[in-house]
Amino acid sequence: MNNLMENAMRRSIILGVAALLGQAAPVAAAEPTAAEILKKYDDTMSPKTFDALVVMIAHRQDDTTRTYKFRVMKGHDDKIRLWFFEPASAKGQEMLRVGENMWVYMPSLKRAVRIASRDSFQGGDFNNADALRVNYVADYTPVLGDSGDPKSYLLDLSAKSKDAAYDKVKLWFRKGDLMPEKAEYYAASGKMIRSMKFTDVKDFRGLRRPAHLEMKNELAQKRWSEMTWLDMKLNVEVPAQRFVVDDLGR
Amino acid sequence: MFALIRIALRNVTRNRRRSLITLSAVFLALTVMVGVRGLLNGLQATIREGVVYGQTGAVQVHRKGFLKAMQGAPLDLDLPADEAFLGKIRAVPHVTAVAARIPFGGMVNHGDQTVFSLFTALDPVAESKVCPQRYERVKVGRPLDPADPTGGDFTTPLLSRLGVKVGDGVAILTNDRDGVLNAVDMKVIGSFPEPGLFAADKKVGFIPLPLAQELLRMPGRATEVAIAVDPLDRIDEVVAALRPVVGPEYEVSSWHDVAGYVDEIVKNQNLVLNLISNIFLFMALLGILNTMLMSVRERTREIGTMMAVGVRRRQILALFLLEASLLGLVGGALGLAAGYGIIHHYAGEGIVMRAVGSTTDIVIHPFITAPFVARTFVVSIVGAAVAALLPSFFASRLRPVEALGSVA
Repeated sequence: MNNLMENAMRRSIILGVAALLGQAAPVAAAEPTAAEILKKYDDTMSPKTFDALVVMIAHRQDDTTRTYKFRVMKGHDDKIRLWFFEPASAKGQEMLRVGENMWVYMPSLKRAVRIASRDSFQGGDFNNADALRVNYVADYTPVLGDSGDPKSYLLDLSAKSKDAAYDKVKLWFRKGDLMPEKAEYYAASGKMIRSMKFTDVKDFRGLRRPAHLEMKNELAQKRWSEMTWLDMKLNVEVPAQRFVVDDLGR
Repeated sequence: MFALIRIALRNVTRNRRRSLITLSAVFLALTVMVGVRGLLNGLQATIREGVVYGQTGAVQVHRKGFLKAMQGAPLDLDLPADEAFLGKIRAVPHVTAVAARIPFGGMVNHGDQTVFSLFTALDPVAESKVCPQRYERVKVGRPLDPADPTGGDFTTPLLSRLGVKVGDGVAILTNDRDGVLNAVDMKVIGSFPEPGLFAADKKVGFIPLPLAQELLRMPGRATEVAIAVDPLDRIDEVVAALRPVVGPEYEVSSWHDVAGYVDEIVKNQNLVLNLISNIFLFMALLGILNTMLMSVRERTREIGTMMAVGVRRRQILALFLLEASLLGLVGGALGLAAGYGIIHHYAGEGIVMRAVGSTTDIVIHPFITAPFVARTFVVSIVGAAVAALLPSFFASRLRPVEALGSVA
């Protein structure tokens, strides 16, 4: 009698737990991991190869603006190259990133010069690694955080090396399509130095991504920069010889 | 009165050993006070001159708001670096030279190395008149030279970071006035160990103004005008005269405003010096107090005798005060003389010193001023008298009969 009851109880507990697990399991499968979200972020912002036309407007302290127009081409193995068209004073300048190394080609020097990933990109509020953005999965360790909003995920990123664009990044993603919404960038000290808004999600030949980025400088009042993707071609031919230092300026 | 002085003198010489010990205490205190003051005067003058003749110039002119935004070395707060503007400044009385400058941040590149550093674009000729010490700091190679339009001077820490020697080529990269990146090729023609006293950043370069104007794409413009004033104590006059000359959109500042930390350092040094001096003086005066107390005790019968023959209490008081003052006077005079001698000895050749964390020697020429000597002398005499006030008062209050009966 006793045994029977025990068995029945045991069975019902097991069943109950199984039922609970059965209910929880499909939900857990739908929740992406931190690594998956970050991978999706890379796929959205920096697909395998592309050729894009971008306009950057830097808003300065004195309420004036400076406009830059450039072409960005991403080749295989996260190599990326950039050509400036505007303003006239920047025309002929080029940039190249291979791994964590970055160069700028200066027409006045007729040669390329090594630059740092964290230096300002053309005096604006993006840094060089932002403009030559390739691979966050390689640069950061992601952890899921509490976004404080049931409709979005929060990723806390910490840099794997000093070459990453920032020491710490907080990224918010929309649940569902995992579109980036906003970001906060922090120095090693924990001080917020930049914040970004991703807006104007557009379809570029099948790739949906924010076409407008607004980077606010948190260290200086009234300073911010915006980048607008005018066009983005995907799966273009990217000749490997375009992505070596010696090719800059040619 | 003369008789009293004569008696005081005789009394002082009566107990030679004790007087000598007291004198040496006063002597030593005064020697130290004068010596340290002289040394500090020399040090402070060296600091002041190093800043005025090596970094800031006596007076500076900027666009309004520049100094507040100085950290960012703003390029848009600029001013004309032409003869029309600079000539107006040069015409102000006591202005002897005027030099346009542009401080800015950027990068130096050589081969695979790129180092962030601070630059100052200088007019090679005018700068040598406003800040000659800048040029004297160049230890290897030569200072900026109008004959070498692409030659620059850099600090040795910067050059060693880049692995560059004097004679090598480097590229300077920076964002121009519009924020657009620009670069020029340069040659390293000279190096100096340090940009100046109290320079926080040791990676610094000096660049010819015309080249920097091209690099920053601001032809004919500058952001700072450094002004030499002679004599230096006319600075306030020059600042006041310059304001209406340059107009309200510019700010005129003396080096005190630009390098306020110098006044702060001098103030703190003086505070410490005064504390030490006062302790030495206090010890010497305690010696006098002790001597006079002993003296009064030993001479109780004598005081009684003096009173018995009609010497007044006032005179007794005056006698002891005079004795103390004599000690202060002689000890003080000798101490001042010795201190002055030491200072004079080092004034010519100077004392070579090295500040903490610095790699350059500074030469200190100690000196003291007449008002300081006079004041110290008076303090030593009056101080001695004040220290003797209590013993002298005791002496003058003695009752003749009891004093005569004293056996001490």
